[in-house]
Amino acid sequence: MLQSMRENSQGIIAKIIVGFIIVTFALWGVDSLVGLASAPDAPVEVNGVEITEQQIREGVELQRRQLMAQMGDNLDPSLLEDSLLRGMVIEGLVQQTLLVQHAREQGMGVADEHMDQIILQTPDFQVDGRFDRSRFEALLRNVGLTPLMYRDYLRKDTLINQSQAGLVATAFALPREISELAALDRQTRDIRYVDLELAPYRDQVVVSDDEIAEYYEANREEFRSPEQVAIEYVMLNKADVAAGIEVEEAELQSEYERLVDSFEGDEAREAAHILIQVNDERSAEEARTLAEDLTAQLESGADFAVLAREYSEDPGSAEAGGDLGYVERGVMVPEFEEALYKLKEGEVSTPVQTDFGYHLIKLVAIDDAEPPRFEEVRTSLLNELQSQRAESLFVARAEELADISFSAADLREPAEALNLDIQTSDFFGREGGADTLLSNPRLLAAAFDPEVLEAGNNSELVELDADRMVVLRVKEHRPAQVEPLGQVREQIQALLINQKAVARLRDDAQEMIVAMQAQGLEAIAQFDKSWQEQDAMERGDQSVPAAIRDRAFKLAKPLDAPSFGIVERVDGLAVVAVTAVNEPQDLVLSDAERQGLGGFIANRYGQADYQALLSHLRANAEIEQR
Amino acid sequence: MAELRTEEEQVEALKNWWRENGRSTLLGVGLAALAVFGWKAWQQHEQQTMQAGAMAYQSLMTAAATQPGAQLDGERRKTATHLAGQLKEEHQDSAYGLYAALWLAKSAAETGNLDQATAELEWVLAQEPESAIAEAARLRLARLKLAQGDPQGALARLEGAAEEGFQAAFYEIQGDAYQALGEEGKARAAYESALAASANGGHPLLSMKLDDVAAIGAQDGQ
Repeated sequence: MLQSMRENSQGIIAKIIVGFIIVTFALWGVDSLVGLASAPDAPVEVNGVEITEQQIREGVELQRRQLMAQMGDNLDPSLLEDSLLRGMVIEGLVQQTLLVQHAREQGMGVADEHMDQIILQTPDFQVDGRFDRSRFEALLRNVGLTPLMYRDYLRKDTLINQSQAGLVATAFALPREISELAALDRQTRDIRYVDLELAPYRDQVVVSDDEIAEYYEANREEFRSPEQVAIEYVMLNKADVAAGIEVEEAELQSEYERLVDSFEGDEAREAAHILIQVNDERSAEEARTLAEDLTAQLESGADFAVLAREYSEDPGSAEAGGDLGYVERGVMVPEFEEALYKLKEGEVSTPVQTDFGYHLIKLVAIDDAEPPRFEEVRTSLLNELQSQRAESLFVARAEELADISFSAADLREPAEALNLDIQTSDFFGREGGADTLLSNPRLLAAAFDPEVLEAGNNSELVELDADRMVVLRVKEHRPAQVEPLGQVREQIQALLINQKAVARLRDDAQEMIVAMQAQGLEAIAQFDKSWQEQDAMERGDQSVPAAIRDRAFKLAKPLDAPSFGIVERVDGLAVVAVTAVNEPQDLVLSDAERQGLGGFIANRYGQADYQALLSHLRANAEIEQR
Repeated sequence: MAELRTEEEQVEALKNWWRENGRSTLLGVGLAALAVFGWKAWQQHEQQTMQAGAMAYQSLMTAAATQPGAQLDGERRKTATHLAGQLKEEHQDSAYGLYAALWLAKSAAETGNLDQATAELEWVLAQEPESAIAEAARLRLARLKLAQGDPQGALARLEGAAEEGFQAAFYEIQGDAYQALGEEGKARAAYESALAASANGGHPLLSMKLDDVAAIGAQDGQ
């Protein structure tokens, strides 16, 4: 066979075929053959362009890392679920693909030089104002990107920004639009309003049992309580483990001695001084004489602080009566320190010579940093030693707990083995219970895990936080159910009374409006009410309740008679009347106001155009999702 | 190749074949090579044009960038206008030229030259751009008409249906035009259509415009 191949390869046709292959490789390279082996089906196709599984997975991973970086320890693990992130990521990729396709079809692209520029100028990639390659790569690695992937993202991003800028940065506001917006925004209205209280109406209405039953039947779904469970659990607490650790008295003693040692040499003294400098103008002898003179004054009863203010040449302390505050050993020059530590409290030294000149030193106070007595610190030493040793024991006991509860049918066995109490909880739903324990996301996930909820097994070991482990099982499971009428009767009654009362109140409010439309606003007196008045009310007026103010600006402009509206309030209704709409006269805007409003309008139209482009592309695209 | 031939016979056959077909083979290979190189050269030219356009566009956007709410000063506006003019002239075939013209229209509108702005937008439409850019330009033209005190002209611009995606903006401008004509009923209907076409409940400004033409008797309680 090999023989025949060798012979055949000599033939002309074979040579032509080989020639053809050589030409193909030379012109298009290896890719032309590799590309023929097609990748697995892509999950989404946008106008024939595939979004690959890998792209989606990368996007999900990126999103997950960003979420974790943003939220840290507070992150709810359910947010990280693939299905949730996946939907968001696919949505984002579809949008990105559409915009990139559109830009390319319009002959747009990104110049390589520009990409380099962007990367070189990104402050995050710079060290001391210069681009740093290792920093660039390290940062990308942190978010799980290779430089090539980053370039690709950046290229698409830049392209999309170009399209966006093409619509947003070219949007404009016209002078007339600015004036009209200003006029509309500064329009004021003259209004009257009156509050009508609901409470008296509640007493007038009656609700029958039949009505309650009827409402219950018609709205059963409203009274569906969510699925709930009550659990029992054993909790392993690091503090409890620590408390059970025995520490010998001798160990406590030696720990105490170490503590006492650490106190020694720490003693601080509050010092004050008067400094007489030796300098060009004063010889050592003169300085010494002056210092001795001061000593004599002190002995005859002069005040140290007064003398310090007058004579001391230490600018830092003279004003404070020479006070230096607390001084620890090793801070002052040796001569100073030696003299200071020889003094008794309140004593002043004879002149002491240092490099600075002559000092008179006063020991103001000694900080009596006495080590605490053993009894005082015994408990805290004990706790410290215990918690140091608890760590490994806690881990060992947690493993034991996990092992025993895995094979046990209930919690009794693990509880006995580890000497823990079995505790029970109230009912709670999937969204969590009242206290922090029952709203811990890990505990919730474990309690509603099918293995636990349906099969009735012990849960796995649940790490609530660094210090607490729990094993739980479901004690009672209440499926979602419609609560019986007896349970919700009062709730329905209150609701129906309210409805009826509001309906009556509304009827009365209508009646008032009809009367006032016929007879004018003064007709309010017939109903024993009076108007609250607010003339020239602005859109942001804080003196009128927001619901009433907003409603007044939604009412029709009054023509011959005021226009009326009814507003729901917390405890009743209000009738609002607009008597006049005041358009601002001779509106003059400053340049800054014009530019501000213009920017607002232009940006709004620009963003609207860009959003429109997006929905336009989406509406006209063929998006296939498998 | 079943029959055995000697080496010489094969060479002879090849020579014969070459004599008969050599010329046309050479011609074919030459033409093919020319086509391939031509195609590559053309692609490269396209690529270069595109990149040049991208760089020029980037320069324009940098030159025209302002703080939010601020306007370009005279000197920078001159530079940007120059860049945009060049881009518009040299890249008519790509979106860069169109966006340059859109920017020239904005600049003219900001400096009060509404006729010039109109001309730039008309130029964009004359290039027959794809439908989204065309629709954006058409809506801007309608707003210019309206600002020039010609609501009828604005309505004429808005004849025909809106492009998919642009309905909210389209109806709002229509509403503005009817409002300018004093036809509150039609304005209200247009604003309501705009609100219905808006995503996320619409812009507060649109609601404000709609509220301002609220109908008497439409409120509850009456």
